Amino acid sequence: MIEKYYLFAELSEEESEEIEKRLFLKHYDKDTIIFEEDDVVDSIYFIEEGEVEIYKYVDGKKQQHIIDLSDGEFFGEIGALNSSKRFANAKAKTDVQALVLLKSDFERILKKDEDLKYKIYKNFLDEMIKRLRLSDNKFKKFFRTVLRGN
Amino acid sequence: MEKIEILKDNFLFKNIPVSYFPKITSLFKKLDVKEDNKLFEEGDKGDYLYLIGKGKVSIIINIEDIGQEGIAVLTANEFFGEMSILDGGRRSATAIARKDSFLLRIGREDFLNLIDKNSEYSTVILRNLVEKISKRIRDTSEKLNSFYLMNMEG
Repeated sequence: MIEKYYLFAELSEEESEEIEKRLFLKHYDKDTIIFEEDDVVDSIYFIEEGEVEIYKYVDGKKQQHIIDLSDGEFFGEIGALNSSKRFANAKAKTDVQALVLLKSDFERILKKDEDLKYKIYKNFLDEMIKRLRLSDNKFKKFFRTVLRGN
Repeated sequence: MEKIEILKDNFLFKNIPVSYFPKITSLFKKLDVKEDNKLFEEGDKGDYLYLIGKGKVSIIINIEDIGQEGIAVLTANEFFGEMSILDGGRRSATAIARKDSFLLRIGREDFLNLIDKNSEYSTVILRNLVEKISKRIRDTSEKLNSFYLMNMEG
């Protein structure tokens, strides 16, 4: 069930079960705000169905779109490993069914099983690197097109 | 500066006991860099990860007709060049010394061995990498946000 989420790729059956039994399904109506910037991080969300928009406020008013996520993707995990506050906002674009993993449960699982911890951090690192490349490219594109155009 | 001093103070090896470092010092090579010298350029193949012992290094991108735009300024105890080492891709930016600097570097294969499943403290190193890279993603996004804002307001 959870292998489709890259964070849990290549886990053993027992490891997957350990995580699955702590997940609960939550429904969000279209247009519901799932979390907001500066909220305390308490969970990671795995999208089973529907679409979620991640965005940020620029100067407190203008919304800047970051990314749309759908089935098989997840969000809210960056804060979950650093105990920080939410960096962006998440809103249900459609009706959404999401599996929720509490940060406290996640930490408990990682603490208990060194092997599982390694795998999850490795999966996480691989994805972070992909995202860093993407965000660097976005940054470069911005400077090379927008600024030069002005 | 002794290699071991630089290693144990670097963010990459945060939360690792001192007994670990004598085992890995031989994997790192000392590097003296003069101000304005480039460590690597955008588009290069990435062979090394660098740790800063002393000095200052800027990560920049070149923009035709405009000049350079800085992505980050790094000082002692920070590391850089990890992206190409981890995904095998090309350098995404240029690294240039802004002061005479003293660095350590480690080759790709050696570093990948350090974060191998069977290596001591590999999970701790992975965690440190994740923490730093998440922060870099956020910084880039914040930076993009502020430029976006500046631009919107003309």
